[in-house]
Amino acid sequence: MNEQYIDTIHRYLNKTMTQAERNTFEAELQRDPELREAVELERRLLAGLEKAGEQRLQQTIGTVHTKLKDEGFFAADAKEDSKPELTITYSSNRFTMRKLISIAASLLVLAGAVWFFAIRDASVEAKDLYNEYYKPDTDVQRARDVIATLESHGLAGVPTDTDSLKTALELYEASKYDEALALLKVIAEAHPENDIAQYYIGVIHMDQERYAKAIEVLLPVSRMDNSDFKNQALWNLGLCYLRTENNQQDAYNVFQSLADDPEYPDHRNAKALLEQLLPKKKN
Amino acid sequence: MPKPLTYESDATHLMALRREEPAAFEALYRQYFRMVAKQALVMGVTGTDIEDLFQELVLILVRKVRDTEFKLSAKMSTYVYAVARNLLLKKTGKKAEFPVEESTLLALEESWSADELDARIEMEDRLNVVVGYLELLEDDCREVLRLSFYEKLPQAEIAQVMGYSDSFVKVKKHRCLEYLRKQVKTHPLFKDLQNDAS
Repeated sequence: MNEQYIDTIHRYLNKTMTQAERNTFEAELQRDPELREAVELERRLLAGLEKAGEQRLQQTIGTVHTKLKDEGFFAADAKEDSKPELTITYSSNRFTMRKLISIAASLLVLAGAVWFFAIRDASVEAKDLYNEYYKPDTDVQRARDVIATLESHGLAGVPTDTDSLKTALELYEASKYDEALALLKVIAEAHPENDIAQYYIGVIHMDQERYAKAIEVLLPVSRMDNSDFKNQALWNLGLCYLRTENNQQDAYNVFQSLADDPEYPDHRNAKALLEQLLPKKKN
Repeated sequence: MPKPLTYESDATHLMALRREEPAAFEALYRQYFRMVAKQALVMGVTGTDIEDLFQELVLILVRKVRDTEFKLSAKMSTYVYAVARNLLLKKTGKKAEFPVEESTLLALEESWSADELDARIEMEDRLNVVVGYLELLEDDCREVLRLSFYEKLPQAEIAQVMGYSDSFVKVKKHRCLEYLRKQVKTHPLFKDLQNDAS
């Protein structure tokens, strides 16, 4: 497209035209459908460029945040701010009733504490299981293996879908999750059957602790009979169930099916996880 | 305790934030996180929620600073306090007991109706297409587009940053954008331009 024509559209969209210019342009817009289409395209392009910049900004802030977290900046802060929330004082009682009330109150506090720690332990347990069995490095290695098999057949300078997938996986490997996710979504939208793209969309959601979204994407992959990613999707699906509320039974079912599958190379791990999950289920 | 990073003045700090310098973000954390955390604790927000809130706060602040019409009319701490207060009120669902003048300086996201939300999601998907194809461009192309359309730097400044001549920046910008445009137009979500434009 003509450079001057584009610049004019950009000036219109950026609101840098004079009022007279703007009026003329808008009159032309009314008449010319091609111009309207071009304006719409440029509007989206500019907004997309803005979004890409914003993602980069978020990443920079995230990096600083992580650096400070690793330094213990937030932990130190929490320590300084934490104060004992409850102070129990004890005074001698002359009256039996007061003693009884005091004992009853203590028992209530104790029961509350037992209940609190029991609940807390249960949630910690699912989280611990997840942390113990989720190995992001395995997915990174798997991405590397896939990258090595992807060969471009595109003409010079024109990226093919394979190139796009390769770039997306390279971005994932470099922990550029937002960019990788954006590209994977483009691929998955054009090729919903692409299990690799769908699988890594799920994995990125997991990495970013969006477990419900990860489940949405991993579930269909776990049902693709011909996919090499089927079992791994199922494994990760089970882990995501562990991190979402009311899905413990689903998690149990997933790991049970993996443990029962002798062809699943990691079925022993599934059994081990299941054994740790079982006492909870019985409760 | 690490030595706090500081800037000569709020204005220089804001300039560094505008350039998205990591040190400027770090300074923001070191100078204001504690103040915001205290404010959050009083309002019942704790733990990692405070960290998330502060990250959002930094993002909002930088967005504001990037606005070419932005003028610093109060102390930086006032802005930080106003954004934090707005975010906390939004998070806790409480209403301001009294009007906070500064809070109006920094409008937060509005609430969306279901239709608006659908339209917004659709638009987000389209923008993701652009972001995705942008990632496929060569580094120089991506950078020239970023500096031109996100940083909105003048051509001469881009030329200086990238070590090109002015005229080459102009040509490069046009070529890269044209290539991106062609790629994006092949995507199904961009087939409906005619409908959307009418």
